[in-house]
Amino acid sequence: MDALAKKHYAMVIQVAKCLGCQACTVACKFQNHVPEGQYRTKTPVVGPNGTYPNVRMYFEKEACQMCQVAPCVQVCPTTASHYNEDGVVLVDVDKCVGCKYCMTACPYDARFLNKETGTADKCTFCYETRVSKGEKPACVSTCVGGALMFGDVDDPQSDVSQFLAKHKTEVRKPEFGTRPSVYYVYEGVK
Amino acid sequence: MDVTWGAGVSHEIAWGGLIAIYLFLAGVAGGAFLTAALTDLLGKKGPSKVVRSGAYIAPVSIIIGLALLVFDLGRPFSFWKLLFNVNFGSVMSIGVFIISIFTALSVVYAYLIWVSSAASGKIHLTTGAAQTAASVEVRSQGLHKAVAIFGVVFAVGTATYTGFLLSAVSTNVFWSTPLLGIQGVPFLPFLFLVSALSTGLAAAMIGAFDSKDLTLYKKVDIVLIALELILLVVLYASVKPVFFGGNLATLFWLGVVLIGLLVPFVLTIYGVMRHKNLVLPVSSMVVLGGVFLRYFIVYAGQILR
Amino acid sequence: MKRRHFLKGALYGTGGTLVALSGVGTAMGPLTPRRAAAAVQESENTVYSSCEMCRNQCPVAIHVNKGKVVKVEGNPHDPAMGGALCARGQAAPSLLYDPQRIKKPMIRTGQRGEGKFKEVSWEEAYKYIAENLKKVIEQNGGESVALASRKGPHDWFFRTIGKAIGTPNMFSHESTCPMTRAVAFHTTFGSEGIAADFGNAKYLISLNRNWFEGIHVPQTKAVMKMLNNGGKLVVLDPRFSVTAAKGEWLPVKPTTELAFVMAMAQIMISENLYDKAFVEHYTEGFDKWAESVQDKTPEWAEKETGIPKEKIIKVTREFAAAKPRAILDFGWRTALTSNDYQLRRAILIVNMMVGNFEVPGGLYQVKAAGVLKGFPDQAGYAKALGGVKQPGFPKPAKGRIDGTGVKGTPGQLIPAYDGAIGQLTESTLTGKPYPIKAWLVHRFNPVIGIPETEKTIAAIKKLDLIVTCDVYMTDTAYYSDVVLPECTYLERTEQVYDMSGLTPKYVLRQKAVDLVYPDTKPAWQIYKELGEKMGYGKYFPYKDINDFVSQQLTQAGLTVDVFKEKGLWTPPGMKPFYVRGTDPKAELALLATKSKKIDIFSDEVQEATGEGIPVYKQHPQPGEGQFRFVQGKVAVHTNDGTHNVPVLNELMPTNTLWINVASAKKLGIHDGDNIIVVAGKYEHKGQAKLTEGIRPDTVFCYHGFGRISPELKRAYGKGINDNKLISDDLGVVGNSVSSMTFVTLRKA
Ligand SMILES: Nc1nc2c(c(=O)[nH]1)N[C@H]1C(S)=C(S)[C@@H](COP(=O)(O)OP(=O)(O)OC[C@H]3O[C@@H](n4cnc5c(=O)[nH]c(N)nc54)[C@H](O)[C@@H]3O)O[C@H]1N2
Ligand SMILES: Nc1nc2c(c(=O)[nH]1)N[C@H]1C(S)=C(S)[C@@H](COP(=O)(O)OP(=O)(O)OC[C@H]3O[C@@H](n4cnc5c(=O)[nH]c(N)nc54)[C@H](O)[C@@H]3O)O[C@H]1N2
Ligand code: SF4
Ligand code: SF4
Ligand code: SF4
Ligand code: SF4
Ligand code: SF4
Ligand SMILES: [Mo]
Repeated sequence: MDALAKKHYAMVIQVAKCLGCQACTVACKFQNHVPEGQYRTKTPVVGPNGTYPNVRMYFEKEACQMCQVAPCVQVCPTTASHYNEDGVVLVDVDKCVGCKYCMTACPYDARFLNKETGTADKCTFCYETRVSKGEKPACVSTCVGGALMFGDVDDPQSDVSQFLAKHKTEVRKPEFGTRPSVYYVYEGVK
Repeated sequence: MDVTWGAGVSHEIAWGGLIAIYLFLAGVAGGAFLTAALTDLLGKKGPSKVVRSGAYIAPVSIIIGLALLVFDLGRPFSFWKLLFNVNFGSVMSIGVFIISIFTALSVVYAYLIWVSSAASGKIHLTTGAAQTAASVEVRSQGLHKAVAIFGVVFAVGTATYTGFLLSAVSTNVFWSTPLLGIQGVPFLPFLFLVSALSTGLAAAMIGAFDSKDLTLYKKVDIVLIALELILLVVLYASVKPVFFGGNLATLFWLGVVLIGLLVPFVLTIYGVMRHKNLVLPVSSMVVLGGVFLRYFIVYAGQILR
Repeated sequence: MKRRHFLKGALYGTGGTLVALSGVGTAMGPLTPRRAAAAVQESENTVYSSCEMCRNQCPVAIHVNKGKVVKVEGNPHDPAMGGALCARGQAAPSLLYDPQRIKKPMIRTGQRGEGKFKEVSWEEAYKYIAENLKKVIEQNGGESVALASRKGPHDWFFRTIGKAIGTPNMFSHESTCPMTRAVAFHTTFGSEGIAADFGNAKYLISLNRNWFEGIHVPQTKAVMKMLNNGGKLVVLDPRFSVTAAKGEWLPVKPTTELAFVMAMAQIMISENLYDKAFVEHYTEGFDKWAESVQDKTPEWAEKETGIPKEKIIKVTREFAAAKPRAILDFGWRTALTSNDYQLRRAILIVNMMVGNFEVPGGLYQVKAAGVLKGFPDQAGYAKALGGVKQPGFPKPAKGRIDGTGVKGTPGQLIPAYDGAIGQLTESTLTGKPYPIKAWLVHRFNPVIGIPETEKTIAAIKKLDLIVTCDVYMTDTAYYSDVVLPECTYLERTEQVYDMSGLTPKYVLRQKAVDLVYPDTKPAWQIYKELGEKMGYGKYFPYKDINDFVSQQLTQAGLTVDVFKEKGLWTPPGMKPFYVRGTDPKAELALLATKSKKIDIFSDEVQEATGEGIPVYKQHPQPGEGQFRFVQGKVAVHTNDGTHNVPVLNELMPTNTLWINVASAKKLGIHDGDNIIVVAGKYEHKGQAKLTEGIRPDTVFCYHGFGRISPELKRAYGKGINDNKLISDDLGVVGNSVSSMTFVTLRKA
């Protein structure tokens, strides 16, 4: 990530509070004009695991993990994939040629080729449409379970900073060294 | 999923058959060019049939390959943006320039070979055209050599680039497998280079199958196939066995190993020993094996992440 | 621009808008910084309204850009919503701009069910309905016309037609849904307006409520709040629902829930865990209850319910220890068994045993303005909404076909407003107690919504006239003679709706955009115009909906401005009002029972059914090779209403039959196998979903799939229509019975 970034936006997902209700999935589609059959975020179920009657299940919202060391940015031949001034990984549709190299590089399956634009697409943290106007991302504000938190981790006063200071969190696939900005909390489910 | 609603986890295959064929064609182009140019540079006589075959196959195959690549883009008509937005950290961005230069060189080289063939009467032309060709040939002697030499460099670049393209995806454990576990030395560029040489040579031989003495090429081919087999053994030992199982098992064992390597290996040796031609069947199998190999590598890396 | 592209965009509303406006395909893409700047400058305004993707009518904020709905959010001014909205609510633009909506009135031209219609003008449609209704009324009397609708604000207009005709036979959907609970509320507290303060509870037991899939945004959030505050959730459900996954799952044997509840009472009495003071002070007939549960030991309940007695004891003790912030939930869709109302009564009684009435974290009576009048210190907070005064209606010549209201019979308990919809098909088919010749249907889809689909269709085929008003060519519409296209809720204003809870609360649905399909109309206009055609104009004494709204608001001392600004109104400064919040002995002035007490023993129930105290009844259990068939809601669809809405269909186009892994193995059924589900004379094909999350003797599917109207092009023929397999049995209080069907399975 750009060392000069002004902010470090992050999302915290408290898995135990997620209902798998897909409100985020649909909110995201309309907020970001995501084409039919494509998704920037999904919340698939994990489980049920175990044997009757001792079973467990939970849901795991997934989208771009906003890597601070983003393989998609590294490989992009046109610099269309980039970190913006607030450290958010975005795709500049004017530069993107749709080569899909970034898709092969993203270890989280977060990207897809937008059927209508032919360019790479993924979660933007709703940066242009909401966050830059001081609103929370669409998925966060609609979350029925109250499982999602969003804010600037460089700001010690923010909800996310304070939460992260107190809770044990995990990032997905840390072995790739991508340093995601999406943190998962498995308290109560694992 | 046991709960039936919601968008399931999808696992999109970003790069499919078109890219596999593109990688293969780029390899063939590089290999064929090397076959032609090295023969041309090191050989004594004028352009042999093998040289011509290789020199013509290279531009045709790289141009078809590039067409497939462009066609595979989400926005084919914006491919030119690749040339104006450069990311030096991206293998693809650098590769675009290597391949572009190689394409140009291969076209020029093919033209020069055509010219010198025409001049030496190997191609039947009208007298006027033959004269023009002869005069061009005389004037482009120096250029010819330079193009061949630079072409060799960029051909190697092109052939290995296809390997680097995949191996640079550090988040893909299969593609980025290091050579013999040596960190920082990716495996695929070697495999793709050897396969490119072998398939390019085979392709060039197909174009010149009725030439009299191809024994040297056949011997080189045996070496290349053996090398490739060794590299696959190395690969097999370096990554998890799952990559060679499942849906791709048939493709790998039957397509890549048996059809692409073992059978041609045995047949060539047999051919060389018994002085049988066998170029068409053997070389076709090698070429086919090259396609299978690219398919296998491209898909295995994406399906089994 | 390609037309196909445009339509595809139109499915999602916003995409289509942008393309149409800009004329360039690329504008549909994600916003680059440059484009974002342009977007900010585009005029966007917010209209506050209420959702109708299901009947919960959650308050929403609708974002409109250049006349198009681009996004919907939970109304941020409503703390119960806090900006949240469920997936269905979020999908609003997808319904609004769906090209598969019905766009013009239609009259059938072929046979019923053949699907042949001609588009007609509203004038022609009204004329056709008026003439044919008149014929039916002349020949068979007004009572031979039946009305069926999903309960809601449209009823005021819709039912005015029925009242003017003079028919007693008006049905809501309630008997398929919460009617037994309503009966229990009414016979216990004297009012149906009872709710639970989940957010402040510490212990919550569900007997068949699934807050996390049967979503009501404020309720779902309240239960989450309880969990986040460390509250405990226990879920009795034969299958592992999302709610069960968030609590302790007790896979109860369906139809035996009453045994669990009675055992809870038995334990609390024998271990002295109940709130004696509350029971003595506020209730009537506790001794009779104590007597009837005396022998309902945990051992006995274990045999009935399949839940280990230790579990029953532990849960009961914990529940009692959390009193009064403990809730034994009363359910929502409560049509499970024939005597379900007694289960609901027993649940309420156990709640009263922990004295959780009118305290935080317990049950409470909805504090509408009318209720506040009984409390001098609260009375000033709100005035009741006014109504539009109608002239007197003719008195129906006959009683209802379903026995509703007949003293000394169970019909006495059925809420007169609702009736027993299951009787409608029966009477239509048999002509008993008298013939039914015409159905008017509004915002309701009985072909899929009520049990025994084929019986419903057979009944429809016998009618002289059936008219359906919907937004889609639903399965019922498909069999209708006249189909009237209502505009969606985003295109209409409706009367102010009372959504009071712990404070009064009024919500106004406001039109967000102009009609997308110009030949659709709102209900208030459709029935006013139809009424005028039929000579009932005087019963619609309002100019338009704005006039109607202002007549309501004037009386409440409010203006429409506050709704324009915030979408809802609650009394400023009023805190959530619990009558016993500060004084545990406070007088319950709001109780509307005759005894002025909470009726544990109910004279009314005694009079109607001879069982004034809940009595346990054993229901048949599945035999070898049989499974009990249960159903439920899914988070991304509404009942039978949203399966064709593009984005929601995309999320879940079909359902499956959940089967326990071990049970399926015995039958040689594998995950994903095509199977045939057999229930008596009915069969349905479906797909097996093997799961560890269900009882071995039970199978489950999500409701509302397996659609039979080919005009629902996305949903048609996909999945299992549960009601094809369930027979039309009525419970004691007229409820449709949904958990008493057995099925067998075989591979297809
Ligand atoms: N997303 C969504 N939300 C909705 C609706 C919707 O369709 N979709 N519909 C709305 C409406 S109209 C209603 S009435 C409510 C309904 O809300 P709920 O009543 O909570 O919903 P259901 O899913 O019908 O039933 C709840 C649970 O009961 C279980 N169940 C079924 N049969 C039995 C039984 O015999 N015994 C026991 N113990 N459990 C049983 C089911 O497995 C299910 O998990 O939801 C409302 N909210
Ligand atoms: N077997 C079984 N049967 C069940 C259930 C079950 O779980 N299992 N659930 C039961 C429950 S709880 C209920 S509440 C009922 C619900 O049964 P219904 O009331 O039939 O279902 P809904 O999905 O609420 O919607 C009814 C119709 O309203 C239409 N509609 C939506 N918006 C509008 C509008 O603005 N105007 C008009 N005119 N029409 C509109 C929809 O297109 C749909 O056709 O089903 C019950 N049936
Ligand atoms: S999750 Fe994928 S798309 Fe997002 S920043 Fe990381 S690599 Fe890029
Ligand atoms: S698809 Fe677009 S964003 Fe992705 S690597 Fe290619 S040019 Fe970059
Ligand atoms: S942050 Fe915005 S773009 Fe990302 S998943 Fe949420 S709604 Fe979609
Ligand atoms: S909206 Fe919230 S609770 Fe619902 S699926 Fe998304 S993250 Fe989970
Ligand atoms: S629960 Fe969902 S669909 Fe129903 S009214 Fe509320 S937001 Fe709309
Ligand atoms: Mo319902």
